[in-house]
Amino acid sequence: MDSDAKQQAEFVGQITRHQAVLRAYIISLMPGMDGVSDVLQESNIILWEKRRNFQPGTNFQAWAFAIARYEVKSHRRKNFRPGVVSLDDDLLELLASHCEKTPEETDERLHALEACLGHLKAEERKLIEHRYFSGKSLDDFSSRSGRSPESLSVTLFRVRAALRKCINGRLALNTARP
Amino acid sequence: MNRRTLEAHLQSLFEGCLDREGMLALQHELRSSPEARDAYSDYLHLHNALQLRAEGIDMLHVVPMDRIVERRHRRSLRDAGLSAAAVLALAALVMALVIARTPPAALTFASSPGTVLAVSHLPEDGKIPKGQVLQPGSRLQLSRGTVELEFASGVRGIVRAPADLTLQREDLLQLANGTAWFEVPAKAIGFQVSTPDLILTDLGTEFGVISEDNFLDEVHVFKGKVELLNLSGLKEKETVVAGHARFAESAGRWKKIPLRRDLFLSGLPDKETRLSLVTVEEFSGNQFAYASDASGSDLLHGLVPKAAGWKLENDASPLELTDGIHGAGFQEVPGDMVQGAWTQVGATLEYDLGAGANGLGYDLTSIRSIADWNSAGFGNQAWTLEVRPVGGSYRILHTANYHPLIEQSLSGGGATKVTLSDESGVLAAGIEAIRFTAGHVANSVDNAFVWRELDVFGHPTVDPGGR
Repeated sequence: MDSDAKQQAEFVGQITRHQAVLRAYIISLMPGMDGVSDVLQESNIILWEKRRNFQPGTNFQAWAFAIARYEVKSHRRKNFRPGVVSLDDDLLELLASHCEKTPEETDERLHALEACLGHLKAEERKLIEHRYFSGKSLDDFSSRSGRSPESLSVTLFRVRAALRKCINGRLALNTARP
Repeated sequence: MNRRTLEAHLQSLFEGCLDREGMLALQHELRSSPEARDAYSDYLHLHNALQLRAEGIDMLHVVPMDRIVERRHRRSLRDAGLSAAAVLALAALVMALVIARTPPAALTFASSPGTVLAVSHLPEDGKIPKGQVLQPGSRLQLSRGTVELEFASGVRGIVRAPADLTLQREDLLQLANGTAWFEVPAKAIGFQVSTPDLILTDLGTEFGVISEDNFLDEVHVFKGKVELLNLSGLKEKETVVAGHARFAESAGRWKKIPLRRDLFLSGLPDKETRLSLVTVEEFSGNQFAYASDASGSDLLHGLVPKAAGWKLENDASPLELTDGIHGAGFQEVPGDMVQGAWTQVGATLEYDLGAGANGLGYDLTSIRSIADWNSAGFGNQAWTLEVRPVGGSYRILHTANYHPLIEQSLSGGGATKVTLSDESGVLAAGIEAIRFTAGHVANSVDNAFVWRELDVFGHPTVDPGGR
C-alpha cells in the first residue's frame, strides 16, 4: 500500500471510529428534530472531501465537530418552520460541549446498553425494539399488544429511565475496577 | 422542577414532542441546574445508542462508506433531477479507497463546506471516471456553494453557485450559467470558456466570467488579455486587456463596464454559503403599483449618497431614490418626467449610515427596491448590494436580477418590487455603510432601468454583552 492509500485508510478509520460521537454531537445540537442521519452523512461527505486539509496528529474530533456544527446550522435553516419551538442556540452549544464523549466512552456506553437490555422483561424489550427498530407509532404496538397507547407511553418512560440508571451503574462499576 | 418531571421533559425533547410550555420550563432548568445538564447528557447518549443499535451499525468494526455513497447518490439525484443513468462523482468515496492510482484526469475538483452538486458523465469508452474528476463530456451542476477546478493543463478556476458547466474538451469549458474565475498559466494559453453569449479565448491571463439567465454575460480581465467573440448579431470580436471589463450587448457589440474583482472568488471559502437570505420578487402591469410601499422613515430617508454614473436628463436624480415618494409626484401623463433615478450600467450609490446610537453601526433587517416605467424593460431591475461593517470593508450581500417585464408591449406600464430579508431577522449586523451598483436589464435602452424607491430598514446594533 503506498503512502497515499495508507493515509486514506487511516482517515477512513478516523471517520469510522468517530461515527457514534459525531452522531451524538449532532443530536445534542438538534434534539428531537428530524434529519440527524442526513446531517451525519452530509458531515461525512464534507469530511471526506476536505480530508486533505486534515493534519494527521491534530484533533480529529474537534475538526469533525466543527464541520458537523456547520451542517446542523445549515439543516436547521433549511428546515426552519415558524412557530416550532426549540432550545436556545447558546444553550444547545453549552449542552453539546457538556455532552462530548470520546469514542472509547461511547463504546463503553454501547456495551453497557447491550448488557442492560438483557435485564429487561421480554415485553419491555419488545416495546423498546418496536419504538427504535420499526419507527412506527405506539398506536401500532397498542393494537398488537392490547395495551393502551397511554399505558405504553408510561412504560416506555419507565424503561428508558431504568436503562439510564443501569448504564450509569455499569459505567461506575467499570471505572471502579483496578 | 422535580426529577420525574425533568426526565419526562427530556424524554419528550428527544422524541420531538415537547410542547412550548415544557420547552421553556426545561430550558430554565438546563440553564440553572448542573444535575439537569447531566441528565440531558445521559438521555442524549441513551437515545443515540438505541438509535445506533436500531440502525444496525457496529461502530467498532464496520466502515459505513457504502452507506454514505448510497445516501449521497440518492440525494444528489433528487437535488439535481438527473436521470437514473447519471453517475455521481462522489462514488469515488469508496473507489478512491480501493484504487490508489488512476490515470491523470482532465479536470479534478474540490468543494467548499455546504456545497451541493451533482456530476454526470458521458464516457465514450463506457468507463465512468473515478473520483472527483471531470472528463470531456462530464457535466457539473452546482446548486449551492463553490467548487475549485484544477485542469490537467494547470488552469485553475473557482465557480460559484448556481452554476452549470460542461467540460467539452480539455481546453474548452462550457459555462451555461454561473460566476467563474480562472487563472491560466503560460503553458495553457488558448484555454477557452464559452457561454450562451460569448466565446472567450485566453491569451495568458487571470479573468472572471459571469453568465446568468436573462442577463448579458460579462467578462472581467485582471491580468494579461483575452479575446472575446460575441455570439449574437454583429458577432464582434474584441481583445480586452488587464484592468478592463465588458458585457456582451445583445446586438453583438461589446460594452464597457467597471472592473469588479470583488464579484469573484479566487479560492475556496472555508465557511458554508449563506442560506438564510429571503428574496421576494413581485411585479405588476400597473406602473404605479407598490406606491404605498415607499417609506419616508427608513434608514436612508434624508441621507445624501455619494453617486456616480447616473443619467440626469428629464429631471432624473438618484437623490429621489430615498424620498419616500413613489407614484404621488408623477405628472398627469405618466412617464413624461423621470421622478426617480435613471440608471446606467455600473452607476453607484453609497450611503454612509454612520456608527449609530451605540457606536456599533446598524443591524439591517430588510431592504425594499421598487422600479417602474411606462414601457417595457425600464420597470425591471438589476443591482448589487454591498455592505460595510464598522471598521471593515465592503462585501457583497445580494445581487438582484429581476426581469419579469421583458415580454411587455412598449405601450404598457409595469413595476417590479424586490424585498430582501433574513430568516434570522437580521440581514447584516454592525453595518456603517451600504453601496448599490446598478446592473443591466434586458430589452431596455442602454440596459437601464428607472429606480423609483429604495428603502433600507434596521436599527442601531446593540452590544450583546450589554456593555
